[in-house]
Amino acid sequence: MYGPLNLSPDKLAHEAQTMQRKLAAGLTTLRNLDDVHYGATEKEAVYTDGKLVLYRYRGDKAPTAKVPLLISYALVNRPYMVDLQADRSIVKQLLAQGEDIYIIDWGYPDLSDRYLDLSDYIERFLGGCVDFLRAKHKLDAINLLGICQGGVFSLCYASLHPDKIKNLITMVTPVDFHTADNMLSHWTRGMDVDAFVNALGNVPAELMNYCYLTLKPFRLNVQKYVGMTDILDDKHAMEDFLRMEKWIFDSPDQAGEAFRQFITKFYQKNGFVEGGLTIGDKDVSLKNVRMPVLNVFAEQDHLVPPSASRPLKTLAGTKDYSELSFKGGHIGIYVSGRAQREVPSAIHNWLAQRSR
Amino acid sequence: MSATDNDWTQDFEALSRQYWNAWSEMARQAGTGQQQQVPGWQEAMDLWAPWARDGRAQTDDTISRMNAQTGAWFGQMQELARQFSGGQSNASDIASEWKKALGIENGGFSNPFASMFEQMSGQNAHGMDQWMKQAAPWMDALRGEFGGMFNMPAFGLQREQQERWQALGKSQMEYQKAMSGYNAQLMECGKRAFAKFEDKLAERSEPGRQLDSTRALFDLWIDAAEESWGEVAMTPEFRNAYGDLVNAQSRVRAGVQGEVERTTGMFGMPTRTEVNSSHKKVTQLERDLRELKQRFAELESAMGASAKSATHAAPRVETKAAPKPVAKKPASVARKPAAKATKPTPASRRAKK
Repeated sequence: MYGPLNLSPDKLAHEAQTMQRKLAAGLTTLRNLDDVHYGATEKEAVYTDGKLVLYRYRGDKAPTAKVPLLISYALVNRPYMVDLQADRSIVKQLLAQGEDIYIIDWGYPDLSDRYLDLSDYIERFLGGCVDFLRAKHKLDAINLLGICQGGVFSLCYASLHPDKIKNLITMVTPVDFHTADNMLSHWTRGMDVDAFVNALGNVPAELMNYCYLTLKPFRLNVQKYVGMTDILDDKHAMEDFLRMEKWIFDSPDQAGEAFRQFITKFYQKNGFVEGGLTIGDKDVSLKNVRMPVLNVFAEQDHLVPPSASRPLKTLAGTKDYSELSFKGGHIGIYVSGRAQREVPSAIHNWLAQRSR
Repeated sequence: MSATDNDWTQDFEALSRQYWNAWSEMARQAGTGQQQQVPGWQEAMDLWAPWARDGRAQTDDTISRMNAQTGAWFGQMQELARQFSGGQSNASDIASEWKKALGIENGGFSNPFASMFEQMSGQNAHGMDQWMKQAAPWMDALRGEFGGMFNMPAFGLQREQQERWQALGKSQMEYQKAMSGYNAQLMECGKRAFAKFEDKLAERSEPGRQLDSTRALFDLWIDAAEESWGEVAMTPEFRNAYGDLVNAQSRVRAGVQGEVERTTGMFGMPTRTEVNSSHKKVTQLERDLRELKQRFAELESAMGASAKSATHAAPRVETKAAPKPVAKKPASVARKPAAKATKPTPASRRAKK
């Protein structure tokens, strides 16, 4: 007859001692940590509009791609996740393969931005960057890579201006917001988003962070920090940990009107799937997305489940649709070792085949 | 290492020795029937955290989260493991003791998940209940001063004011009710987690699958809790409770803000509504200005093309005004090339409404 535990006082004492040693070592490690920086790659601002800044990233060699790749990240976190550090940078990898990379930094909205709506973000800001690059590179159309919410914006823009986008890549982008495994969507459907935004103005970053943490409350709030003791004696690992912490909690407030529209049109009305979606006064239909599309999603994504991304295949109007199913999560798809090996090369090869 | 560094290292080492000695003594007394009290994780964290902070936000924020989040549960799990070390145990007994450790015993009322969620509020992450707590003294004062009016029929000169306060009082009661409903969901999640924990423990009751550390036991509990959360949080009941809570919070917040506006407005101070109104106008004016610039650029371009067509046999019409690079133009000026279309844009249509 066996019980579930095989614990002895010696084992427990040894475990306690080991953790105590880690804590002790952590005191030295923490004091010797360098300031945590992010952003591994040199970049320069090439275009601004309000708080938006468009950066061009510089690799060790000049780009060989003739068509620039514009990356549109989500509003809810900072875009440096794709260039977090030298050994965890999708941007660095793409540059090394010859891509010409531009990234939109949406900035940190304040209350003066409260009335910016989705039309401002998609037509004015994203569209402004697209047009700037078309003019700068003397091209009719450029390549666009949208990530998460930035992918939703990219799909809307590509639908409204299919002639301006040569190739479209979506990463961890929700398309069907009403799949059975989408917790975030499930929660928002009982919300009176008008009352919410009217009361709050802009949606505070702290509230957004709290909401994301409650998607997996026990792993993200408790287990993670107990696990941190394992690396307290490893300076490099602790710097990585703190860099990730900084990113997780470095979130901009959300412009109230854009938030209201995003929740209503996508999370509640599931506009891509159900139809009737408008940006400004223009109808948006994924049938207009006729350029080649690469849809990249993460198999263990708890924020944007693969089931939310996959419907793009049937909804998009393109005849050239490809998928990359990545073995990892919503964050791992940018920063894991596997991501560094698989994602940039897949994107580059896919683009290269369509640039001939 | 500096003298100061030396001091804190020695201090912590001395404390660590005491901690370790207690655990060694516990191991030595095992089987003697004596119960040696040993310091747990919380005590270790309480000793460690002040030394670990170094004045930099990057470290201090993380240490604060670690201390707040791990203290209770991991420390209690350490104590649970100690209780069951060296003897026979079964899944039911362990799960039962774990319930007791978290305050649920013989139908006693405790909601460990609600407590855990409350502890999540901290640097850079908090729910709307944080605001409710901050506003509570103001609400209490209002209720204390005017509580008698909340339930009286409203009439006379103060009728409108009384009705507003009654509405605010009602919204606060609705918030309390919604919070109870939400906590009931967390309680349900807790119940399921304990049942799952017991099941998972039972699955480990065979050679080669037994748990041999506090961490392993703790991780099993986290698995059980997370699975339960995944189930409960996806139910229609949870969605309703979540929506009710958020909506009730929004109503209270809007009501409080309205009263503050009326009070400050009496003294001629600018209100949130007025500032919003200005922001709305500026945003719309910015849209209109952009549209005018765009149309002006189109006209310029078209006029230039006409002039060229008069002097060249085969003119090439330039329809797109190329934006200038960032260094040559102020950051606040948007550069969107002129589109071919000349029909009214959404901005102009919105302005006409």
